[in-house]
Amino acid sequence: MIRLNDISFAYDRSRPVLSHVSLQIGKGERVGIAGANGAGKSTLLKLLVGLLFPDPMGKTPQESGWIGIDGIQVTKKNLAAVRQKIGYVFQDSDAQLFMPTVEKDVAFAPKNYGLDAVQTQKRVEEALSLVGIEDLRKRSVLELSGGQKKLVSLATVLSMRPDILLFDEPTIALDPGNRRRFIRILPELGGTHLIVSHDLDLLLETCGRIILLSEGRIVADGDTETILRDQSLLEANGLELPLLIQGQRLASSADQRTQ
Amino acid sequence: MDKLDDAIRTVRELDEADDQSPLAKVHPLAKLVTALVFAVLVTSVPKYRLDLCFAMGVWLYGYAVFFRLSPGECLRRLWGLFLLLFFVGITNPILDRKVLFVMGRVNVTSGMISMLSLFLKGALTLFSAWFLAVSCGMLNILSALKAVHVPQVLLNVIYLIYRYLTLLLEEASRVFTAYRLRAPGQRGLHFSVWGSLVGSMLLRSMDRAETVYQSMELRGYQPEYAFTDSTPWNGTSSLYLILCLISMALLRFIPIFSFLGSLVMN
Ligand SMILES: Nc1ncnc2c1ncn2[C@@H]1O[C@H](COP(=O)(O)OP(=O)(O)O)[C@@H](O)[C@H]1O
Ligand SMILES: [Mg+2]
Repeated sequence: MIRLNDISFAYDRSRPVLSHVSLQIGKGERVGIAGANGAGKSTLLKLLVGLLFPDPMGKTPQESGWIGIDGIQVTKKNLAAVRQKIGYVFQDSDAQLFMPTVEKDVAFAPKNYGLDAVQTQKRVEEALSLVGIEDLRKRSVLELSGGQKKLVSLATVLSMRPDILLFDEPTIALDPGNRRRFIRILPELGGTHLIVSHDLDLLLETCGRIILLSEGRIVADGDTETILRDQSLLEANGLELPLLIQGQRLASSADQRTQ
Repeated sequence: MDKLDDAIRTVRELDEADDQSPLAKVHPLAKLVTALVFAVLVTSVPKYRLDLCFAMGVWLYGYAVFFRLSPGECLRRLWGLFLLLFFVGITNPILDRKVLFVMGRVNVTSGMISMLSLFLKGALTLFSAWFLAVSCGMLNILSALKAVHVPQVLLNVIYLIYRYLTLLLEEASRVFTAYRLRAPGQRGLHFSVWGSLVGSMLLRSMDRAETVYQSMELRGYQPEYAFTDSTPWNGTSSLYLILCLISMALLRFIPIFSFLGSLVMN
């Protein structure tokens, strides 16, 4: 379970990026976090894995809110325990991949967690086959397409067998075919998923619940259908109706005219 | 840019050793010690003793053949460094013109000899460092260093610099491609843009270095525990180390080639 309790954050004090964010995400839920550019979505994910820490804003840590992952508070002391539970798929796959070959990149995490060669190899096989990229195993990361890199990044965190997966704009660099493939793979991965995106069609198809973030505040939190059909809410927050819903509306208004 | 991409691949591939190599069974520490002793023995050869440089070259060549390492590959990848080495001693023949002997019509001066031996010594060290890198892999070298109690901080720094090197090269390759596409028909970079290109290259690579480091951290890289290697020392490693050190020392300290030379002269 993921819990944020009254979290505020600023890169520099004069401009708050997140203000008083509280939320709770249950085990096995798949939640979409929507919001315009700069709403603070990526910042929120980084706070969850302790790449950033909430701003105490002059208060003591007890007053300033906290983040808990499966009952463990995200603090510098608990980082290793927290991070072992979370797989974070970066927005920029180039930044995530740094080993010479796909196989070695996927093996990086299990090796660091002290698994021996045999166990590591097992994890690598498992992660590659979950994502369906066994054939890329020996390839150099430098030679892959954007879509392949994204799938490899996913495999590199799956090899840790995380309970929670965080995705930052997973489909942004994918062509329609790879996007489809990503959507098809998601349900097979298991665990709790948090998907940050302004690709609302993606969220509509994959998530049961949407949290809408605007200028660092939660402006809506509810089931996908309700929020993503609320045209005025979305437009007030720099987003548009998902194309799928726009299409349905066009079709139904055309139906009405022909009747 | 193809040369840059080649360099990137080279650096990345040094990450881990080739598992198929006959050297794979030898403990990295044994390989590291061998390479270090070799470097010391080579660089300590007196500057006019070409015969000893030659002897060490023969040893290294034998080593390469025996363990199926490719000197050609090293030359191809590091030719820039070899070229640089050549220029290191270039002033010697000019400064040091004492004639040692005459070969045909050419006066061979001590400067020429010392330049040649400087080049050979550098080249041999470079070859052996390359052989170490390809037969061990960066990570194993670091764990070997850790086993002999080199401070962890130093190891982390070496590792991160090594990681940063690929990023820097990749950014260089991108920036250069972007430049070339907008400056068709130009050879190289016009000097007026060097400053801004290098600047953006550094900024972008530092940015990426930060994200890459985050990605490493999130996947369990803990600087204080990194490079702990569990592979045990084995008999093969002892045998390898003893044979390498003995054969190396013999060639270095017994002037076999000058002895052979004097036999021929007589
Ligand atoms: N490293 C940083 N330093 C300073 N400001 C940043 C940094 N990263 C993001 N910001 C700012 O924080 C705000 C939220 O950024 P981000 O969380 O990346 O938004 P999103 O992912 O929703 O597009 C933006 O205004 C952005 O300019
Ligand atoms: Mg973002």
